[in-house]
Amino acid sequence: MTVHRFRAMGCDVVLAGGDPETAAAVFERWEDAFSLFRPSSELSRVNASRAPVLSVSPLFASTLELALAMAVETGWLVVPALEEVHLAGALLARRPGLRLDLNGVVKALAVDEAAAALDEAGFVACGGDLAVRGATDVGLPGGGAVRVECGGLATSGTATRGRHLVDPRTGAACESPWTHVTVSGASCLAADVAAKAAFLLGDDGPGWLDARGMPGRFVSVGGDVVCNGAWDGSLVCT
Amino acid sequence: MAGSRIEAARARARGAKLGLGALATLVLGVAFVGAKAHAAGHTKHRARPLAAPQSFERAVRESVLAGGRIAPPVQPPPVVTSTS
Repeated sequence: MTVHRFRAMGCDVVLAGGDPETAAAVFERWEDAFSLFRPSSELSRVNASRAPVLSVSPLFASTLELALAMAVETGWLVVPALEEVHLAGALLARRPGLRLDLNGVVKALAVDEAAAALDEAGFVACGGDLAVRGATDVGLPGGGAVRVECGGLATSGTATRGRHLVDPRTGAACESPWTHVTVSGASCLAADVAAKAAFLLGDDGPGWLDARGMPGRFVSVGGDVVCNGAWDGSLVCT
Repeated sequence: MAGSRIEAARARARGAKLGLGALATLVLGVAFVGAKAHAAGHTKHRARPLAAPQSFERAVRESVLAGGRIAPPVQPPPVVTSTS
């Protein structure tokens, strides 16, 4: 299996089973629309606009709707903004100056799309997000490995970027007993959003994932590994 | 004779005023409806909160946050999941 590497979205992308240029084009399209570090991206232009109502592209509108659906599903833990926004078709209304952040879904969507474009069995990984086409063994934080048979695997935590996850309930950086939360989902998007929510939920994270039948593995600040029932039901906790 | 001509002129003037008023009201109404229906700057619907329809939310609950399938590893992993 030939493994390719390139940079996108500020992360190393690792790819096997497909054309790296095709995958890079997928990441570039998402980054071009939603990067907060490119002043020309649509998201940057929306955030910079002083107009109370804006017309946004169909991609922007559908992604925002998906982000909101995830916010509903997570009980407003993983949200695209810390204040109310309104959408009517392609018209977006929000308080001028309100910062939208769709990174909670965009990177995982790019990974899922790139994995769907693979030519053969393989995987696409970017940061902590991974999607597979065919069974793939994946190394886990703190040691150990797991075989991802389908869908995606995502890890959220503080190890790489520090306390970067904001808890919408407090508006402050999250205090969590976990350093890493790894979740297996039917897609990379599902895994990523669930991992963020479980991280923010702290001690309630394992049970919250079990209620949804999502396998989750937690590494505590002290280095202990805790697996929820769904994970243990799939394999011996490693 | 002169009085009846003046009365007739006043009656014609009243009729003309009523006609002009009705015409202006009609033109205003047609223009308003046309603008609501066709002008790009007029919203066709009330703005709704950024909330997914209930049916979509149900579909999301049933499928989007669904668990994946994992198993014990069988070979050294070619990739690792770090943190995002």
